[in-house]
Amino acid sequence: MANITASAIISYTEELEDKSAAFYRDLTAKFPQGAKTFLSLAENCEKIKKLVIRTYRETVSDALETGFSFDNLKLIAYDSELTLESDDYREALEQAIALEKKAADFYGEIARRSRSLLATIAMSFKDAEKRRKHNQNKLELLAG
Amino acid sequence: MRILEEPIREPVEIKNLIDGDWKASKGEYKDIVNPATGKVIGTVPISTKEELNQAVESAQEAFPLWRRTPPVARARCLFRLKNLLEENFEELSRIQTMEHGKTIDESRGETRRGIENVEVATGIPTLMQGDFLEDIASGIDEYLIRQPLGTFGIITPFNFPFMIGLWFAPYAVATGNCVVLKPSSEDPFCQTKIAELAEEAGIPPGVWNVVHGGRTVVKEMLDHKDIQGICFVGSTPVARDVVVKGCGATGKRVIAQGGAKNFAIVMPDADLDRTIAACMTSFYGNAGQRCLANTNLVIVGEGLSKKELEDFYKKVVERFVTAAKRIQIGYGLDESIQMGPLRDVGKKENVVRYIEKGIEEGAKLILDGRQFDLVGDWPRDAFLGPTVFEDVTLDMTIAQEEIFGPVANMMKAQNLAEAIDMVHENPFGNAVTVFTGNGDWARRVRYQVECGNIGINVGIAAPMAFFPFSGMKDSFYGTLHGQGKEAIRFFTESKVVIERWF
Repeated sequence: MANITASAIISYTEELEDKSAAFYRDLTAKFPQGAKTFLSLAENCEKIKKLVIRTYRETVSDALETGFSFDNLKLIAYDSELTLESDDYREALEQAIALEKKAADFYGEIARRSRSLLATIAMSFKDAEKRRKHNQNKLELLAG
Repeated sequence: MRILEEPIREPVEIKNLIDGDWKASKGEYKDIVNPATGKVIGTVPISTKEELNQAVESAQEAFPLWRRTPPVARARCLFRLKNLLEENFEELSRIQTMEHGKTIDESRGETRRGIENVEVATGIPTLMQGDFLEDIASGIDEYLIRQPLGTFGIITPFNFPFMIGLWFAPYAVATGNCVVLKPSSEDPFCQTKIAELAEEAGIPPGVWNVVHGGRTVVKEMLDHKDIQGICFVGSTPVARDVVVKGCGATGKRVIAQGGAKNFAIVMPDADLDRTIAACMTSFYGNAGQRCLANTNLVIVGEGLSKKELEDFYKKVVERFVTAAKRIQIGYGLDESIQMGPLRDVGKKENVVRYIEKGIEEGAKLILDGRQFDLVGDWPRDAFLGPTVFEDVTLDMTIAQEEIFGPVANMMKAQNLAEAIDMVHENPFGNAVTVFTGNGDWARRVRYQVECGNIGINVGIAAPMAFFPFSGMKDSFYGTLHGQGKEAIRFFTESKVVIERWF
């Protein structure tokens, strides 16, 4: 299995948050009953992207183990379906909850792996995990 | 995995910046080659003595006004430069990968380290303050003021084309001096781009000059009567010449950082997962082309029997080799890549000669970097894989000399005292790293080892911008170091005033 570099993780994060934000904007347009929450989730995804990229760029150093912190990580395990699969509100909520769970797992795992190797960058992954868990809680409240 | 877009699309003719004017040189031009793709990405002039003299003259002319510019105004120029560097962060990083070969993570790391020096230098209104003591004798006061000296020459190496110029130039300029910077002619893009941004930030013509070139420019810098001091980073033989034949003869101030042969010491209680990850970065990062790279790995059996040391040694070596074998080699703009090429074919050939020498002198080659898998369809010319030697002894050439490539030597010591003796037998004194969970062992290394930069569970002991980049023995010539407060002292004269009023 290929090694995963920090740069690849950051690109993956960027794509994940862009697609997640677009997904929630789609839900905002389709489901007025949850629009306020979905919009806030979209904004949250944009915040996470900004936070992680900024922290990476402000912390990265040639002395950190950027090439060797994510050995054997299976990125594919964290891929989610990010196009809306159903017009049914409850099914859309379930899809969103599944997305949040996977995203939180992704950030939790990369935070754990890089904890003592990537300094503050690992802390930003931990923050992202927390924000994704908050997202999940909000969606579960909507789902009742 | 995706390959990031290249910021240099067409070959660029690099120019000199003299007195705020970008000028083509009258000297010959040579090609700048992307070591990963083999493509020519630009041409750089080998400037003439006259061009260097023009740059120094323009610096001398700019100096009186620049030194009178209030420190807070100079700091604001540097704040603007810092913002411009941030705005161009990604482009600058990708340029480094294109001109040097390092991976994109390494380039971004270098960009950050460079910018941090600009950040520190923005603190000049505080950093440059002097001292004052009332009543050194009754009714008499004494104070110290720091004043700039004039023009400084900065000569930078190929291995960190962005960062090393910024170890010096921001501090020189912040303290009111002017600079003439000569980047490595092998990868001059970044320093050229930084100078463009410095100009955009409002640093006046003549304060920040760039003259590209080779030995002629360096010799003229060393001999020039109007250059007050030299900052040099490169190999030890040249650093010694810069000090002895150059600055010594002309009475210049000097910071001359030379080569290195760094040791990593692995104690029996080291966290091996993290130690191996740190070693991969330390031994093979930047393809081994850095003065803080570790090259000799000493596995220590403190508190272990001979048999236990043998077992521990085998375990560490096996883990090290397994990790080294998995390193992905290719073009640094490919995000899956962990190690790029050497800067050029000649440098690779030099490393290969060391590998051959190691075999000839009896070291056991257990991972041969001459055989490697390359990710992507690139010419193999400048690439080399990770190499590991076992049974290396201190008398071997590969254990003594700076290889500046991805070669690791496995050694063992029965106890920490023996490991420290091994470090001390080497003439260099740049860096040592110890991997351990034991505070006493770590302290013994920190306290006893004669090296300028000590890493404790840190593979690359690179000082941050607010600390000096240290070095001892044959790794450093001079008194004050680059970066932080020492750089402020280097670039200023301490004037003492004793004052009495009748």
